[in-house]
Amino acid sequence: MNSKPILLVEDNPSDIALTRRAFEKNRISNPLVVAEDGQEALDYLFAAGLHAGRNPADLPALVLLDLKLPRVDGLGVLKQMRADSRTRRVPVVVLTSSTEDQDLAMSYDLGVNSYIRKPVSFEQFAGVVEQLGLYWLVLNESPPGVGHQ
Amino acid sequence: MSNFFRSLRARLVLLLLLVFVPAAAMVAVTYSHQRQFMTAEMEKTVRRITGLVLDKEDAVIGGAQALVIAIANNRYAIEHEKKFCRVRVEEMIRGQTVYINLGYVDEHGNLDCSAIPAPETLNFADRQWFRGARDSGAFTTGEYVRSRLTGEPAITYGYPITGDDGTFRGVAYAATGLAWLAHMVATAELPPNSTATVVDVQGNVLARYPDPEGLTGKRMPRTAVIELLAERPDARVMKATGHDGRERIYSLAPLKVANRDVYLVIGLPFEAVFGGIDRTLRTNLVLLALMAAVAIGGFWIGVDRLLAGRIRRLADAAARLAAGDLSVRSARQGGVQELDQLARAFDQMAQGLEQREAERKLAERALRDSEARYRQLIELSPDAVFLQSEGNFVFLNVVALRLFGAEQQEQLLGRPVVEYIHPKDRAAVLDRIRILRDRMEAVPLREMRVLRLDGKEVDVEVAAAPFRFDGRTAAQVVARDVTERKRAQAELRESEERFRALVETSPDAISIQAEGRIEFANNALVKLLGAESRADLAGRPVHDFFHPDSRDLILQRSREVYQNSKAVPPAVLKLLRFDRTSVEVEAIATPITIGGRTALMSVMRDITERLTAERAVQESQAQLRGIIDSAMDAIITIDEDQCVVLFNPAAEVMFQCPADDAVGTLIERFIPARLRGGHSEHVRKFGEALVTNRRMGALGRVYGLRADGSEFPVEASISRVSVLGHHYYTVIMRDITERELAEAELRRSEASLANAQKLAKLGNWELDLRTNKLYWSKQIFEIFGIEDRAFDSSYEAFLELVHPDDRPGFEQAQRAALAGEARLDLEHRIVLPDGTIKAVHELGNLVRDTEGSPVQLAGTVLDVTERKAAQDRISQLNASLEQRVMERTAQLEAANQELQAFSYSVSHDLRAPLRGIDGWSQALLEDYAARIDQRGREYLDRVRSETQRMGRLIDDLLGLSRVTQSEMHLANVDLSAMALALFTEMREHEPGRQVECMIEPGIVVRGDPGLLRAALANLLENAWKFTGRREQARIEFGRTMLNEGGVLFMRDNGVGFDPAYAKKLFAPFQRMHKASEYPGTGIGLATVARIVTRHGGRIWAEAAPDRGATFFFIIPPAGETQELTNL
Repeated sequence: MNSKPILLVEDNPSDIALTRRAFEKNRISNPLVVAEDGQEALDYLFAAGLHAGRNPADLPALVLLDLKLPRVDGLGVLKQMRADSRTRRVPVVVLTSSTEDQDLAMSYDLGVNSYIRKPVSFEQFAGVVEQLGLYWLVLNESPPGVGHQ
Repeated sequence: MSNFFRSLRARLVLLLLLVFVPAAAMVAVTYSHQRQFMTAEMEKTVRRITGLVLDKEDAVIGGAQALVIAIANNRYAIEHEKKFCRVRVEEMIRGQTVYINLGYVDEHGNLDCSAIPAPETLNFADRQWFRGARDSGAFTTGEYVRSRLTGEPAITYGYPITGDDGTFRGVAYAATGLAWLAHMVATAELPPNSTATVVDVQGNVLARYPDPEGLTGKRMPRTAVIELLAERPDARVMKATGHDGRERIYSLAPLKVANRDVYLVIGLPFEAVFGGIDRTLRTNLVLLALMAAVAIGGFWIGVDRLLAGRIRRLADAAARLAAGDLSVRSARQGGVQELDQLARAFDQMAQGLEQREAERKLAERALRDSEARYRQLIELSPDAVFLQSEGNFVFLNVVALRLFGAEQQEQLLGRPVVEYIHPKDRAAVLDRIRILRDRMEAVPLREMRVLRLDGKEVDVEVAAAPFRFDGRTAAQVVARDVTERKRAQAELRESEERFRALVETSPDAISIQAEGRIEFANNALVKLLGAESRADLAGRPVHDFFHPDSRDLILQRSREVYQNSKAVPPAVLKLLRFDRTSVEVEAIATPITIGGRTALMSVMRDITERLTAERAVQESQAQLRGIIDSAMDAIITIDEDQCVVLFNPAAEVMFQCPADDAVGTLIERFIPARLRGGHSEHVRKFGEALVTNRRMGALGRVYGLRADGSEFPVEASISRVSVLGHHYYTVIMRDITERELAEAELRRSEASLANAQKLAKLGNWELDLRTNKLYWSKQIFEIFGIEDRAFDSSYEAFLELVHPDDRPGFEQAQRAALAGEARLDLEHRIVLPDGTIKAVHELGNLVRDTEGSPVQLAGTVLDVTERKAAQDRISQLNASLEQRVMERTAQLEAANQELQAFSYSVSHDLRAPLRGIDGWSQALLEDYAARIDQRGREYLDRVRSETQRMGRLIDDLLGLSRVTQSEMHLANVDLSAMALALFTEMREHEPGRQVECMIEPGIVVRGDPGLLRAALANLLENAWKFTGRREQARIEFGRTMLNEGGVLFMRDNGVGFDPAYAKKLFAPFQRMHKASEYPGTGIGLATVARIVTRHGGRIWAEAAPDRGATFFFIIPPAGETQELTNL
């Protein structure tokens, strides 16, 4: 398990806390960077705005992306990430409450790696987070330019 | 001298000499080539010998080297047998020409051993071969020197002899002469007297062949060769005189002998090399010179014989001709062709001159004779002949004197001719005189009048030709008195005029024909045959105008005329006119003599009209008979006494009385008794009136009486004819019983039609296209609000009534209908006289006669004013309805969008807090477990289960709304396969349950696969859930036939429900069971119902508590499915 940060893009403080809690429970030690809207997430990824001065080559190991977000929504973030050669290969998991078919289809069209629906039950949610950690941080071989540098 | 070269002979000879120049040049060129060739050959020979010499020299040196080395190596053997040494080396050189001596010398150069006997002491230490061998310790070639032993020039080769200790002990030598050289040259097959010498640049002879003087080894006398050699050592070939006085061609080749530059000089006797070709050259030149001499000599003589003599003779002949000897000739055959031609031409000239002279003499004599004869002829001429010169009489014959009324020539001679010409002709005569004088041309025959001396005028015909008279220009004039001829001609003309007038004005056609062609035709004939003018007829073959029917007859008659020379009697003939119609004529033909020929004159009278008239009468009578016999009307003719004379078949039928019976009886019997008196009175009056006929019906209603006594109405007409003073009356009658009935019927029909039109507000019209007369039914007048009689019903008048805006459209439709393109069918407005506007619908068809040409446009006018008003109201309503529908649709769309946004929001925002509630409850349970008692934990668990239920509710609600909103994509869906897959899924999910499932295969419907799958899944889940407490659960999916056709069903043997609530079943959130027993949101069946209704189907359920439930539903097959949204 590498120690690169995980970027959580989520505006609901309760969900942020729950996610943080689920990570802790599953002993996922990667630092969790939280962006509360899409623009902030993009600023972080491309080292702009508030995050200017950050090394843009330092990319997160995984981006957990909610879809319904202030300013730039999740699909917008995904679209810009996939359009930029630097962030094109960063694994992105959409983690959302929406079960709208069109959201699912659009996400996959834009090249999301996984689409996971937040369950209402915290137990199930924690299970999902554990699975995520296991798969994306341990089992998955990062593409060149991401993770191992 | 220059004269000599100007002579033809000398020039020709020079020309001849030119011929020999190329020959001489060729000889010279050939000689030069031969010289070059011979020189090259000689050089080749010398090179060959030189090569041989060099090869031989190499061999000699090689051999000498081998020998001296052999001797040097055998020194000790030789030394030990010193006395034999000489013998041994002598043996070695015996019998060969190359080596002169062999042997060796000791280290001081003293001779130790020699093949040739030598004095005791002889030292060679000064020789090069010794010094070289000693100093270099290797094979050495010595100089070319005279041998000390033999005195011969020789080259000696040396090789050092070394002792066992390597010390120098002496030199072995071999001396070679150049005798081999001489020998080689001798065998080189050179021509006799050739020499070969090897000589160095100083002139020392190294070898020589042959060498009669023994020059070898000596210095060569200073001959030309040697001098040349000294001057030009690079020369290769030269001509020189040898010291023996012979001329030779010397060829030189450089050689190396004993390291010295020497030359091999080969001298070939000049004679041997170039003697042959020089001789040939001489012979050729002599022959050439001889040939030239012979040619020039022959030529000299030949030219004289062939040319010069002949030319001289010609000159002599010409001189004689010039002197007047016309008989001189020069021709002699067999000479030069060109000169012969010249001579012949000369002879022809001379002959021509001679002949012309003779002819001239003959002509002079003939002229004299001719003049005498001419004078005699003129005197005897019956015509007046006179000569005039410069317009004055110079001679007149007797007749001429008589013509001019003179008695003697003197009265007229010298007088101007014009004075005796009628003043009207004088200008012409002067003109003619001028032509005769100036152009010397004859003037043509002309009529004129002369004035006699006695003042009378005489008509004459005059011709004149130029003439020479006593050396003066004159004219001979011949005049003939034509007074008598002119009178005869005038008479003839008059006679002809009269005849012509007769013929031309004749109403009968007259033609004169000869040899089968028309020569003359009068105007009547032109008209008869339909020609345009006489020119059309003149020259035409007569048979062009024979009608085939009369052809034979005409030909036969013509033959008779010609054979019998007399006229043939009249006959009727048929002729063909120009337009190929026929004309019938009565014709006579008679022979007539014109210009000595017998021609044929025909006189023809057109009788076509007469015949036509006769035939027409016959035909008309036959026709009349036919008409009377076949007439539909009864025709009866009576005489003045009222007796029937004609009773036609129609009358027989009408009166039921045969004609035989009727004819001859009184007409009375056919008239009802009550009318008989009136009738005879009537007929009488008609007879008295000077009217010949009265039209049908003009007699008013009359009645006939049949043989059986019955009466019937007739319509009759009457006419009167008078034949030979007797009056006859013909009555034509028609039985009008049926017509009267039909008329009554028509009146009734028309009345009902008018009534019908009135009710329907429909009028009909007819436009007669030939008269432009427009017929309107009564109803049209009413529709148009027009007083019947006030209206002039024509198309134009009608058009005035059409609303001005609609007129162009109406006219266009009218035109199209008249052209037969389309039937008239349009609505338009009309303006009534009171200003009311009405709408009418016009329909019309073109009516054609039996030949297909249009005769009538007939149609109807329907008053559609009320209908139009109703239509307008309807379309206004429709427009507002559409508007309302659009508004509602827009509202609905807005509501739909809101709903969509709402459900998206629900799906997203409503679930987040739930997750929070659940998450934090869990956190509380985990992190504060110690501080919360059992009951608190139960409450928290309850909080969590409620939040999760809320989550499911939200999901189900979303599902329901999606079913309603999603777009349908129709496809063929195999419901059986889908049900089986869903069932298998459930069984895998809950493997512990015992469920029997029966699915009818092959149920395929058309619908949205996603929606149908959701519906089927809900039904199946339902069945699965409510059979949960059955030991042996059974679920069935299939198709059954109820009274409305195919119905699908899902049946289970589960807990069932009270059918009283069956209707509530499909509303959302309706539950039939306790949630604790059968959990659920109550939305599933509502979803199924929506899906089924969206497919245009229907769903219902049958059940009883604890006895299972069956859900029936209908999905209409493809084509019948109508999407019913938002239901």
